[in-house]
Amino acid sequence: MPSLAFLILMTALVGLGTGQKARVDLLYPPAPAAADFMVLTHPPSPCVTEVDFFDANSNKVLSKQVSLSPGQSSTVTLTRTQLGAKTTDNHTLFYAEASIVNTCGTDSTCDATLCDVIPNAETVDPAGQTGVLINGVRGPLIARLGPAAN
Amino acid sequence: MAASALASLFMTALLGLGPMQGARINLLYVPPSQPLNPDDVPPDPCVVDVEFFNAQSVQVESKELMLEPGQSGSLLLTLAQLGGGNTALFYAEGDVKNTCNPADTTCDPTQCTIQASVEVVDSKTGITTVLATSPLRGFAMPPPAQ
Repeated sequence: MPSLAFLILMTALVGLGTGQKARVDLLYPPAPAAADFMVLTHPPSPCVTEVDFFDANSNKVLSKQVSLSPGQSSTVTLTRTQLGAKTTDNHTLFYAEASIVNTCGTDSTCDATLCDVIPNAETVDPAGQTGVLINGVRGPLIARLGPAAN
Repeated sequence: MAASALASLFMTALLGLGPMQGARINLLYVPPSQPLNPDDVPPDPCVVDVEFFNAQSVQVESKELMLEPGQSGSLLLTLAQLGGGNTALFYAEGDVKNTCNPADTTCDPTQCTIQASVEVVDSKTGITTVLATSPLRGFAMPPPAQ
């Protein structure tokens, strides 16, 4: 059963304004060539990343898993409607997390921490322009290592 | 609840507010993903003081936020609170209060996983134009000498 292996992104609380969306972008860069004798373990193929969006009370409002192979990228988008934003509130807060899913199973040579997926989050206005780039945490965040999900 | 020492959570640089802009401090108490170690637990709730200052370091707005895991809180600042005009500078600070009972050796305010962000927001559209974020956790300072 796959489980969340480690957190690669956790944003701060940020507001979505009128007509805005939030976006988590994931890039899995092409892997550099490695000498064969050095390759003892390998990442799962593909690498699966779970993106979760939360409201200001930490209620999960959107969750999506994305499968990426080296060189690929993907985006998960949150709308104000999905966030439950009221029309009277022009600044509704959210935060986002992204985690690598451990899909290695029983393969002892497989290591999900080798999934070098680069995340970032941004707010985007109706014209598609980036509002702000939201700094998150890059790389495994040991403090938020979660237990296996069943 | 007797609060003593403070743990510095964040402090922004000077930022400017223009016409039709407001600033806000957002705090999120990041919910733990694992059961807490019973020998090292945060106070319940975690208490955070947040403050806005003008360019002369005069406090212009403040609030005490009491947060449970998963909760968030905000403090807003308007240009008028900075004295009006077309533009004015401000900065923001936040401190975790040590509300642990000194007799409780398992209580540790540094376990308050508070994440802070400061936004400059267009008042009309609610769109964020500037975002400043803090590290996930601050570090506690020792209690002041009595």
